[in-house]
Amino acid sequence: MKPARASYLLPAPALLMLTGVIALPALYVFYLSFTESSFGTETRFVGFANFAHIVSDGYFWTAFVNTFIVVNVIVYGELLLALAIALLFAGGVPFRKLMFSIMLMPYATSQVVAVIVWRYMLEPDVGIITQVLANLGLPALEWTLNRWHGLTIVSLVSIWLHLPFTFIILYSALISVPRELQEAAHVDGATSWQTFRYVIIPYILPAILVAMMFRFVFAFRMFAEVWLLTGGGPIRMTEVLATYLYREAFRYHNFGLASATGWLLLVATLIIASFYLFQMYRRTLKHDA
Amino acid sequence: MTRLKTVGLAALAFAALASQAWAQSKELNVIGHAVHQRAMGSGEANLTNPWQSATGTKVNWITFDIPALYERLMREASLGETTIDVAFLLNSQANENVFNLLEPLDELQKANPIEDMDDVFPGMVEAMKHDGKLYAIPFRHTPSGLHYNEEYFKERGIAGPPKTVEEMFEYAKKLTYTRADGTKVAGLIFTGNHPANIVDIARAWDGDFLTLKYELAMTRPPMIKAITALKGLFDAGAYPKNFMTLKSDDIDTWMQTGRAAMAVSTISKSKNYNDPKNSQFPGKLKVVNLPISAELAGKYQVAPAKVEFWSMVIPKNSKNKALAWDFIRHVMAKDSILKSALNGNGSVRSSVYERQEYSSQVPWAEVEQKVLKVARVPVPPLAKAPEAIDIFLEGYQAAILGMKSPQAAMDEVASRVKPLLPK
Amino acid sequence: MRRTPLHSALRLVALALVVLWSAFPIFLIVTASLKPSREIFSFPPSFVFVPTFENYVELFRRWPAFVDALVNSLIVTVGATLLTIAFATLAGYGFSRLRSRFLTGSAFYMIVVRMFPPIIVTLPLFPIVNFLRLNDTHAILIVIYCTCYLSLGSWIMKTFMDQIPRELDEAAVIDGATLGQILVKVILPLSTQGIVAVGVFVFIFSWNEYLFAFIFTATEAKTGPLILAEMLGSIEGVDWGILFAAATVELVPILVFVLLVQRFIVAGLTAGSVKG
Repeated sequence: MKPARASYLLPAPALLMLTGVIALPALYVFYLSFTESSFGTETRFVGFANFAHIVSDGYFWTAFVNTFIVVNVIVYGELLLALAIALLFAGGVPFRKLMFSIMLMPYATSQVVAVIVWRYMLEPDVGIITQVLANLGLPALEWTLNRWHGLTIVSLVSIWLHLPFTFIILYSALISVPRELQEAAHVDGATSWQTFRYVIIPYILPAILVAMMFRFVFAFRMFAEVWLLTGGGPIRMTEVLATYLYREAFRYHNFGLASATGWLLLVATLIIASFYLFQMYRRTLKHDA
Repeated sequence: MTRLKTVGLAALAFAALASQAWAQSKELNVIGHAVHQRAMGSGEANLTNPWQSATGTKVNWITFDIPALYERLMREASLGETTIDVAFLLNSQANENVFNLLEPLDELQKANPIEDMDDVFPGMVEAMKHDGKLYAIPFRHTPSGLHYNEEYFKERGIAGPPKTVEEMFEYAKKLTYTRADGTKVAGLIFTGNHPANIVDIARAWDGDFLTLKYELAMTRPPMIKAITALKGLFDAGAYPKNFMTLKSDDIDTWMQTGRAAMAVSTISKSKNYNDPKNSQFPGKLKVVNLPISAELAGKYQVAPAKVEFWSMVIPKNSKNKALAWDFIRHVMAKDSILKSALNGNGSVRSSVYERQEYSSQVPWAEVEQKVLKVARVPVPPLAKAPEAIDIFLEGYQAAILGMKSPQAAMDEVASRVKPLLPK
Repeated sequence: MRRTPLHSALRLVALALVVLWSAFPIFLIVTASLKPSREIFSFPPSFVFVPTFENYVELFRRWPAFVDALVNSLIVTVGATLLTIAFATLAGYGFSRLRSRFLTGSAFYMIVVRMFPPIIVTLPLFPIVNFLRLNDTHAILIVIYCTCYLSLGSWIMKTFMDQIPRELDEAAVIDGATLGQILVKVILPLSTQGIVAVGVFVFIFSWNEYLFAFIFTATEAKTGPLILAEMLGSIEGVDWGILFAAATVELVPILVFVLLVQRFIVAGLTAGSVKG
């Protein structure tokens, strides 16, 4: 089939919007990243000073390491959980519509309100989760005092908030796997595990990649979970890149530094995500050309 | 081409949505916090009603929470032209960069003065001047006090509120206990995401973080004594483990639900703390002045606690400056300030405290009046204040958690804050 | 799949855990809205209490702007959802059916653009939007929210459309169908799961979005999350009962939306079994 020339314009509206709303302003931000700029002051060209400042700032690297750890924990944690729950749902559950809605609710909750409730549950000394941990004989989560405990609860709350994202994509992909494929595998004598591994997974792999890629991109900008729970503390040890950026942009109004951080964030995301990008290219765009 | 039609329709739908009415001429746009709108009163009782009908102007309120309000004002004031005519600004946000974007008010005041300007607390007015020009008119203040749970004091056999800060620390330890019903009580709490209340404690020794002359006061004995004492409370469990995450609404909740025995916070919060709807201890949460150290007993009657205040400003790029000034004049008139004070607004006019209608309705009027005579702002106007504050909080946390000695922590803070100060 | 009793029991336990995990914090939010404010943050939490609707009454009495904000949120959310689905479907179909360097490049361009943190973009956007006189309009929020989910939307649509056999398009072409007809009559009915997934994402995002709404609206287009932020930023003290009542009300439209679109997931399921 020879598609009409005009067909190549199909993505045009989407591309125009992304370019107009994000890409072009991002170019202006690129210019800003070489300046010193704030409210009520003259913008001044400073060359690479902003980048030099950030790269030599210990807080940036703490934030970078924290982000890298937390992002990996939540992306893979969510993937495994979402896959397990999607399989559970696809196998049939009672009150399916209700259950599906319940599963989605965390995603629908205002993040601010959700964090208030989690803070209440995680309250040191008296929170429900603190009490449950104590009753199970487990060590307390000293999340206000200890960096790793802080990052643990940040990851926990983030997974709670965003698990439905990965779940929706995987579940939709899973239920669109043709029955015939699974039945054919059974007829050929495949076990449940073999069917899952060699029939279902390859079929939903593109969806898994899309889910992981975007979750990865969004997780890199995780903000509310950190800012509202630990505030990046104690002593800025649980800061992530998005809170670092927010501090510069919205608290300090150092627009030059914030712009430079924004671009560094893009580069960092791109480098770390290149593996997924390549997989997406190889598996979904290249070989069936 | 069906596809093109679809795209065209979508574009049309856009255009239709986009063509919405823009601001009209005889309107005044005021950007503030909901608390300012509430201070004006609601419905028939709104104190700006006479002004609105006399001038044929409709006042539109645009309200935000505090950081959002400032952010929005700055963005609007940086445009070529803004629709914002009057805005509310906190004293700590007033610095030379901000003043650059605001209209100087001296000419307006000369031509059409505010009633009895000398009655407005002079310290506050003075703080809103830069290079000899006045940029903002104070409207509302929020001085700190010590709130305490009377029932808990009785349970622990403490007769009354502390008279000195030394007593306050001692009581805080005594008041850290588990009640018969299982409630765990912390002795003393205050917000940990801002230095204001930490400065409040240091004020017991007349201390500071930064003085009004930008001296690095955090390394001096008063602040070190305050931090050392607070570390003692923290180690004794009397100052909560999550002190650094406590925001002002957490302090409220802790007091209202009886999780703390004493709190340093804004005096007028007393109303909310004793509201039976929100509080489990209505009528039992008293407020007094923050106590002074025994060392300074002769010098001060009460600690020179922190006061913060809100002022009204006019963006330089507003199109309605005359009207905006007239609105400010009306809101600042003696009668208006009294009315707003009765609506719960901290009065910037000292004459209001002499009015019987006020003192009979507001139980903490005397406490406020006492502290206002000596109170001063927690942080001087500083363009880099947010950075300085974060550095201070970091050092404070390190000292309380025992990672550094208070003096070492504050010395480091001083060296990092120094480059941020005005030259 | 074989179902032993042990297997079924394990499934039930797993399901119970999923419900507890997802629903318990939500349960706390909803019950908090039915308690007097003073009891909301008590320790231990009170699970037995006399529910009161006073918080809801107070919510609508003290925050009349909340209703307008909900209407604005709804307009913006529905607008952004429809627009995103339309544009993502077009792009997804292009990416799925056609191959060219330009298209492959655009597909990845879409992802890379989204890696840029949007909060920084507000710096140059604010003056531009003001210049265009688009601030405080529903349109600007619709455009921005749509843009935020176009990349994901296009990729999801592509992924789902890849599963639809091309023979169906080709048969339609032989029957003389235009591109538009193929999309509407052949492709859309078979990609409902994808559309639902995209729709749910945009709907929920637009409904709860705070940052752009705060920067680009004032009074006319002010949305629900801004009112929540104001309630939380109260200087005189947060009224928790009212806040949780508002949070609960905010959940309702999403619940309704999710229940409505589930029909299409079931439809998708049957269509899926036909298409293979």
